[in-house]
Amino acid sequence: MQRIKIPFGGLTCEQLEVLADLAEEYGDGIAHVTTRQDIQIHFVHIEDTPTLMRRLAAVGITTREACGNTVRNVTACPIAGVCRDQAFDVTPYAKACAYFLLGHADTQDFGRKFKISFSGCTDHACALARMHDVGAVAVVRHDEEGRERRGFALYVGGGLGAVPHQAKLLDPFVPEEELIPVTQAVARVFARLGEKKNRQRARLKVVVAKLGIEEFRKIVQAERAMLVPETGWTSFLATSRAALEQPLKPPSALTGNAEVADSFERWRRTNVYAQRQPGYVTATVTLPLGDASSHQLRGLADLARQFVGDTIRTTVEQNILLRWVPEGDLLTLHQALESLGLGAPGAQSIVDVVTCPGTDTCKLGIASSRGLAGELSSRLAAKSIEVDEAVRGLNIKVSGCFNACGQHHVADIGFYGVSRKIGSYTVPHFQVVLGGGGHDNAEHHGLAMAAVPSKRIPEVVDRLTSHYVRGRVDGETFQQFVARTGKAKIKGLLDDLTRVPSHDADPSFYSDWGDPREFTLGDMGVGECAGEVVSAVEFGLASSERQAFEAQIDLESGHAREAAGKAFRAMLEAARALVQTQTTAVSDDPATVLAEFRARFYDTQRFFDPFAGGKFAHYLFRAANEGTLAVDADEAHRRVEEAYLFIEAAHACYGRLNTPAAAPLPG
Amino acid sequence: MDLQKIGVKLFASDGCRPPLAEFVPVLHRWIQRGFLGGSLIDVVDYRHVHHGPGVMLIGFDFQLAIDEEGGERGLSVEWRRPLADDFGARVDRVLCVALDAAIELESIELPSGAVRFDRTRLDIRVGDRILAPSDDATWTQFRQVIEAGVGQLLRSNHVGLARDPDPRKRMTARITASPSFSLRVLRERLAATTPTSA
Repeated sequence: MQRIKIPFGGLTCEQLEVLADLAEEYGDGIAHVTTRQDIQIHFVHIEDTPTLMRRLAAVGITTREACGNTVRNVTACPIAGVCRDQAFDVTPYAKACAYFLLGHADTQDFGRKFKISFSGCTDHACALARMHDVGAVAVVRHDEEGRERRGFALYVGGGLGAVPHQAKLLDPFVPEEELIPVTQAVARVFARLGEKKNRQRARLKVVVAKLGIEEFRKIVQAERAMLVPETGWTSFLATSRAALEQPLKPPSALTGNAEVADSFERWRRTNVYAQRQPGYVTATVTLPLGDASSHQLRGLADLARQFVGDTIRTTVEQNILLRWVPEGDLLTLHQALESLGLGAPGAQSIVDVVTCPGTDTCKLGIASSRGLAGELSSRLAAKSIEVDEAVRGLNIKVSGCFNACGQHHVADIGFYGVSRKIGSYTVPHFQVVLGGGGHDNAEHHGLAMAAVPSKRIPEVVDRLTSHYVRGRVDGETFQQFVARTGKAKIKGLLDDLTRVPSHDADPSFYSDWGDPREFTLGDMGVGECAGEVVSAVEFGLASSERQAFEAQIDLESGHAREAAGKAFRAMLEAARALVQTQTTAVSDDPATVLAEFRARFYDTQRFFDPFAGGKFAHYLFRAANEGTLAVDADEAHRRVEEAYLFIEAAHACYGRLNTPAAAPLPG
Repeated sequence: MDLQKIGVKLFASDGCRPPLAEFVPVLHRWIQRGFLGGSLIDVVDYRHVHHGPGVMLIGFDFQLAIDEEGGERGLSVEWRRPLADDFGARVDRVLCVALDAAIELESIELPSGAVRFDRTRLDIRVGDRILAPSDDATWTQFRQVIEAGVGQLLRSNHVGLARDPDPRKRMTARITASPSFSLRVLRERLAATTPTSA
């Protein structure tokens, strides 16, 4: 896979055409827009990459530092500059920051990746600033003489991943001339103090959590004071107030036309946004699952040339945005988009499901996130006309595993892929994550509620949304509804959906969306004695999930220490269940369970995840060491999240213990 | 001029459009069976992309798709790796894979019925724009080789050859044959020079 960095998502028509050619010649004919506004081309031969990169460079695109332990693509609100609610246009700042840090000596020694995002306002979800290593939110202040001063509220140490961390406010107002040097100082502190060996602990969020924001702030300030000035810090400011984009055409109004098709009206309702500049709108081109064919990209480049010029942006919702569309051209534009198969309504609505690549192309994927997203999207689109207005505005995000590339923590309804051992079969499941949301720049993270078989997830969505429609009070958001209803009640609503029918009764549950093969074909051949042990283990794992859920209830009720205590006991219960696979005589004493688990599962690496290593075991050990005395709400939230991940790892470990070597293919 | 990344598309007969989902298990079985030879990696589902690559079988050397590009259902094979030999032999190699796949698909009964390919036309294209820009010079060379090779292959038919007019698309020769050709006969004619891929 070739990931291509698109700083702030900005693209020209020519770049779009080159991407179309490259996807066709070196990939599978598809360009995929990611949740970081990148473009990815899949199934590229390594020998083709030098030519591919040269062709990108010819149109001003670099792939440098799109992956690896680097500053990843700098993202920004795609409507920056045309947004009605922005403090100011963050585009020049995002661009300057991206190119200043690209290849900079201070960003070459990280233990892991470093993500930066720019938002023009505090409230909306366009840039998700608070889930980034550095999130910059535009702020305007006025000095004593009433002059406008531009700056940024700078958040640091946010991140999703397996356990999400809420970014902390480093500084409520970093003046514009200090934006880059302060970011550079943060990068230097990360390079110096960040973990280098253990990748699971090598993000800035861990440094910030470990030091505390006050201490981290002092270190950054000291670092900033030491920096030698560079011209790139402020050289861009001379032009930062000039308009980066010029409209291609004069503004115009959409004249009333009784003949317009319903499809246009539906599209206009969800995909069109009135710019702050009268007579202009943005038009979102909805890309199903973030995918566009080469033919569609060329068609889009043609339309951009006709209507808006080089004002194209990719979005974190995996769509493409055309800015500066004269409103009067909307009908013609929509007809042209329809002819490309890109005129579907539903941008940023429940049908616009965000997803990571999942098992399709990611080696970490557990369940088919794209398969599920495609299924949900087509089912919801088919009945979109009947969908209640309140439901239409919800968003769904799907990750193929706990690593959260699909951003499931910051969705109204999130899912991440897990698996469950049912008899001799492994069954794809998704954890249902509720209570999160992207608004307020991704301030609220959801928590896992229950693992549901993959094939029942559409029912989960139906049930949750109809319950919301029936039970919401006026103006209540889905997040508020979940909080008011309570997790216990909502979990009860889903309980029957967690059951898996036997393989004989319904084999479809034993394969994933879009893949007819069985998840596993291993025949266990478990004896009766082992069968009893298996039951005890499964019982133990189920019990640990119940404990983790009760921890969530405590968390919801504001009882942080109790929640952390229950989260620890949930992990201990899962560890004990695993120990039971080795010896049936297991004490209930926590110290004994810990020692047994460490000796039998950690030291032997039996518990190790193939990719994450011993990461999840450390959650248990750390919770045991640190106790609950100093636990605040944030820490409790993290512990509960860690408990769920530990339990998932226990399920996976149990699955591995019971999976025989793959049988040779017939024939 | 070197012509690489050669592709062939055989078109589905009019009215023959089984749901693309029905091809997914077929392609998975081909991986399990090692059908078509080479290293077959995965099946990718792009049914959600309008007039896109449909359902794809990704291999190390080539990609095969039951695609809907240009709104026309067909079976496409695109060779991804550099091929040795002269251009005619390269086209033969790609055609063999496409014909093997088409013959196999026609022998399978899908849930919604049989698959049938149009015997009166096919496309042959070259995808590498760096080695062979989509211009008149490339077309001249491409046409000569195609005329000679396909003329021999379809020697019992009257053959038409036209260039796809869209200059931004890969250089494509649209070939028509009258009367219709037989997939098996074409494959047998190629067998003398190109080993079976099945």
